[in-house]
Amino acid sequence: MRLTKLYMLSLVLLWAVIISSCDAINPAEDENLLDYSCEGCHSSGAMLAGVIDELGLEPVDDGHEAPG
Amino acid sequence: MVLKDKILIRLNATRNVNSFHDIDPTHAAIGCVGCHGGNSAVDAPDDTTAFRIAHDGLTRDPSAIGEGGCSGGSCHAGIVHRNETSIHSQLWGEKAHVALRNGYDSFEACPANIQDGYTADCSSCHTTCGQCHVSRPHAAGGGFLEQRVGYSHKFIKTPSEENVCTACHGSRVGDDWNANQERVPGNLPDVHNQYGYTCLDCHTEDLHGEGPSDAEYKSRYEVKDLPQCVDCHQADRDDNLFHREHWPNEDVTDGVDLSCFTCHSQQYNNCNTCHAGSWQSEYEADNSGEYRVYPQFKIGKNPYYAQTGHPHSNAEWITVRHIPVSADAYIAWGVNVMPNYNGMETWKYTSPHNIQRWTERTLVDSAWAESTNQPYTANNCNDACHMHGNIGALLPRKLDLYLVDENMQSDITGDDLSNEIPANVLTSLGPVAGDNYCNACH
Repeated sequence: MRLTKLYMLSLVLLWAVIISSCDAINPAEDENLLDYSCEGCHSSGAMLAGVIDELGLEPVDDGHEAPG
Repeated sequence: MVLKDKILIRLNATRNVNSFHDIDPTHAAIGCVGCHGGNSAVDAPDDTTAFRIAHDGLTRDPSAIGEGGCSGGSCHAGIVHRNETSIHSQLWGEKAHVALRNGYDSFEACPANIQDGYTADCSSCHTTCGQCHVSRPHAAGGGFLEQRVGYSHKFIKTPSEENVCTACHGSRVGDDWNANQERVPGNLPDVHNQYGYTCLDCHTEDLHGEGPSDAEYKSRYEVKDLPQCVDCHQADRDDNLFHREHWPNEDVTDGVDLSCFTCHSQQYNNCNTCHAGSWQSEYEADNSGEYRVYPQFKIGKNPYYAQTGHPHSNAEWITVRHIPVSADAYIAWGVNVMPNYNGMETWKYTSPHNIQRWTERTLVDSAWAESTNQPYTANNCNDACHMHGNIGALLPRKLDLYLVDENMQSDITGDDLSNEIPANVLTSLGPVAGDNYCNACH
């Protein structure tokens, strides 16, 4: 019984660690970040994707492996 | 990686990362617009209009602007000024070689067509402060160094070797160091890498340069304080017969001087493209990452041997790497044929970053790897390297180890590179056809 509790507790702790390690894509919840401020736009994946797609900003040259 | 992911600043309220201030409070005090220009915040009817207004007058890489960038005020002025003249920023060695092959004493003496051509075609490896300490170098694709909450657009004092060092120094250093199996199949990672060392553990020289005197460098191998094996391994000088006989010390009376690489490095990348023949079209099409490289190992003569004041003059025999340039490589710059094409070798002094204790040259007797007291035999020398030993018989197969003129007449890739023979007179053993075996080494 004690082992089972320990096992369950370990699972909960592991789950908590995994969840807290996730990188949210649209996390900006600070009301001080205006929609059209630098940080407001650059912290919104959806905003960036929309503007990049609409204006065709995706570069053709994505860099190259340097021969150095 | 798509553009969005390269420029996304990842925030997370539940982790108390609510703004750039929480990522880097020091630089956040300057503000986005303070460095990049542009406008923030913007009142606009839609996203694309807001984008145009916000980015009006924006500078993508503010650290590229000398006084206006990282050296503004008193924050980083000293290091930025040194970096402006560093070999990393100015590529002095490459410029010197361009000048030499075109018959000029210095890059500054080259006419405008050569300087402009170089700037357009060759200087893309320039980096800025931000391209090492905030993002990956543009030439390597860019994007923030770290793609996780709390770290995107963070100024990182010591970026990872994967994101910065080998992002640029890839096909030579990176493939060697990490044993890229697609390029150098069968290789092992450099033993120092296997033991957890990083680039900066050995490269303790200041990568931001020493100052204006750096402009005198004709090659990266002239840089002061580059790491040398003996910095750590001097104690190994007398630990076996081969070290005693071949230790690089500019003293041939105690045996022929070999660079450590001639025995302890593995095969490494050589190149047959970019600057050879149709290099321009190949380069332009090369953004897929397909360089025409092939693994090879060649021992040649050190062009710097016994050269007074040169940091790499101790070894007479060295490893050489094919880094070709065709005589018409600069035709797009108005140079049909380089007037001094033969003034610089195309099989160059090289320092493969793929060191192992046991290689095909050092593990002559497999028992040595298991035993500390396995004796040497008279044949050990010629079993691995020398063409003859006490047994006296020639073993021509050992020629494969050495750069000889015949290598250039029929290159490993099938190309006839015999026009490169005169340029490699300092590194090649010369022709070995006929009865010339003895002269090749002696």
